[in-house]
Amino acid sequence: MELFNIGFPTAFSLENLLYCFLGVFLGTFVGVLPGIGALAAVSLLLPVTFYLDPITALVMLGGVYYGTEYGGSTASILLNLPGTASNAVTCIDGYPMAQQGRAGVALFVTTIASFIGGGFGILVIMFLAPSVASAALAFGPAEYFAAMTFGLIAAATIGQGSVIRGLSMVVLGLVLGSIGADVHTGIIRYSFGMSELYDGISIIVLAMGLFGVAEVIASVRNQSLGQSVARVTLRSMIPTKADVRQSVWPVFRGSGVGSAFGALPGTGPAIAVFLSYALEKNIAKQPERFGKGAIEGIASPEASNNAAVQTAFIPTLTLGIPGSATMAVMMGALMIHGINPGPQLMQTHPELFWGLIASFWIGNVMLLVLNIPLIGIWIKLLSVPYHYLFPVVILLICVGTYSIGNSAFDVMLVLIFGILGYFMRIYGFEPAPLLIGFILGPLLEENFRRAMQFARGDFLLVVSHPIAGSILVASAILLVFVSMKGYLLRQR
Amino acid sequence: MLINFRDLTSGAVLVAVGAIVSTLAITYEVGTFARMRAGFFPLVLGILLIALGGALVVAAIGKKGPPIGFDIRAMGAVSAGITLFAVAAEAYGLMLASLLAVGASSLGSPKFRVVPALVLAVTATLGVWLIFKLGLGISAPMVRN
Repeated sequence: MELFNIGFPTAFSLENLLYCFLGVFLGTFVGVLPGIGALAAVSLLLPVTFYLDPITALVMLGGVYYGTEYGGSTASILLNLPGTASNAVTCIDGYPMAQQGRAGVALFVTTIASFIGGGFGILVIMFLAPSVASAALAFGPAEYFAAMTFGLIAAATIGQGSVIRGLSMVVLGLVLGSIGADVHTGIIRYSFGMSELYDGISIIVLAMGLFGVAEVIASVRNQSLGQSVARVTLRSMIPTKADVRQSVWPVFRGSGVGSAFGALPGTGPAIAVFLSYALEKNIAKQPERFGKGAIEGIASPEASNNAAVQTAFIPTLTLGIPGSATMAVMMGALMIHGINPGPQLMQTHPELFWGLIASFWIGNVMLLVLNIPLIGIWIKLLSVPYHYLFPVVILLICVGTYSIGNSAFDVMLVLIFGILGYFMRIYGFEPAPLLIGFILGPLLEENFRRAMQFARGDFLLVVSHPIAGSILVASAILLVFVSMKGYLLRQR
Repeated sequence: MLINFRDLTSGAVLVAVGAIVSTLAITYEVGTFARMRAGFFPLVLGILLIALGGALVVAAIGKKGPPIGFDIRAMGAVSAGITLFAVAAEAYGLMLASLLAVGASSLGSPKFRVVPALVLAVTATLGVWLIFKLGLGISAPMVRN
């Protein structure tokens, strides 16, 4: 199998191993700290990856991404503060376990569950991705257009706001993506005379501003988290036989749910996690135990979110459609290196695909080994006051942006997007759909153009392509379904 | 009459942006469905924005909305920090720019105190030099004349 011929040899190079370690280490670190998420970390590290080989770059960024899922559970269990959105569920049963003096067991079970979930997700990628990619090779512009529309509508459903808000962010992202020279005609759009905009806006600038700066401004008033944290010893981590018995099936169920939902664009780890928790609670023999320290309540969600972040790579690597904002940034990283993600990626760059998969295995093992001894260090880290942390984050954003092209204009753009992002948060708009719209915009337009050209301007002809048509119908159904759900919720 | 100001303002802004996008799109030549010129796609997007913004405005009437609060201090301090960085990096190099960025941004927190902030600024600047100049070897000059 190519995994062993190409993947592992590529992943085992000294450079790739080193950056894999760096990525998972930084990822766990970022995951432990509430407030700074995988997206901010991946965006900050993007300029660094310019100096790296594309495979190495993706290995590191990927490590950061799934690493954060490992780290996020630590703060949830110990402090009742979720490190990432998908770890919010772990707080429900994890924190009570800590209060009962079982923090060590909770942390241990979480790490093992995360490893099994991650491994399961990787297996799904290995067996499913090649089939998805071959099926997608039959895609023409009409099919791509339909698939991207589906991805964008799914993106609009991310987060709290109404569908209208989500859609407006997607459209705004599409607009921002059209700034600069139009590939087809060469006409420069929306540059307002500024020559720096002739090539469009860089995704790094957008991501750092919208997510980095905006997050910082919104979180400045955060209280310091340095409370007294329970002392966790290595011995206290060993679970009892009953714990193990109760966790086995939840872990497998969680892995399954996570793998399935992680691969769908738009949903991602968060929904998978809530679903796994709900599933466990509903099929449990004693549901009253949930919320009071039931070990199934952390084993299943933790397996689920790690499986989901692995399978989240599938649509990006096989179709070129990012399922989430973080995936969009990683796609941006590939494109900057001149690699276009899509079905042909596995054929033209097999060492990238299989090397990345191999690095997922290596990374998950590293995380398993790392997390158990390092838990004490993560705990200390949680006591750094935010008012020392955030100016450094701002500095990193500035230096990172400036180092791309020595452009003070880019730095100011980051600020503008930062202010925009902050206002968006205050007014209840999600930034993730905007980023996804931004990166898919030019591609969506290109495919729409071509599809319409072939159909000689007849949209109905485009829709009557069987695959394209069914995907578009699915998008419409999704849209209606989510709008109805939102409308009904608000009527309560 | 109850008005949800949050939705009203955001809806109005979206309509305005959509109008600007559409108007400019028309100047880029729209073309036909079969032969789309540069302005076609943006025009569609602009119209969508106007429609979505309009929907928000309509939905805003008749309900009370949540209160809107800004952290002006944080916004101002971070803006000052980043702007100072941009200006100083071009004129004086990254070292001074880093000092100013950290110093100014620190003012954003109500827990700001002068001495710790200065220590943080100096430490962070040294860190930048170590990681970015020595470690990564970026081309931007640390000190310019």
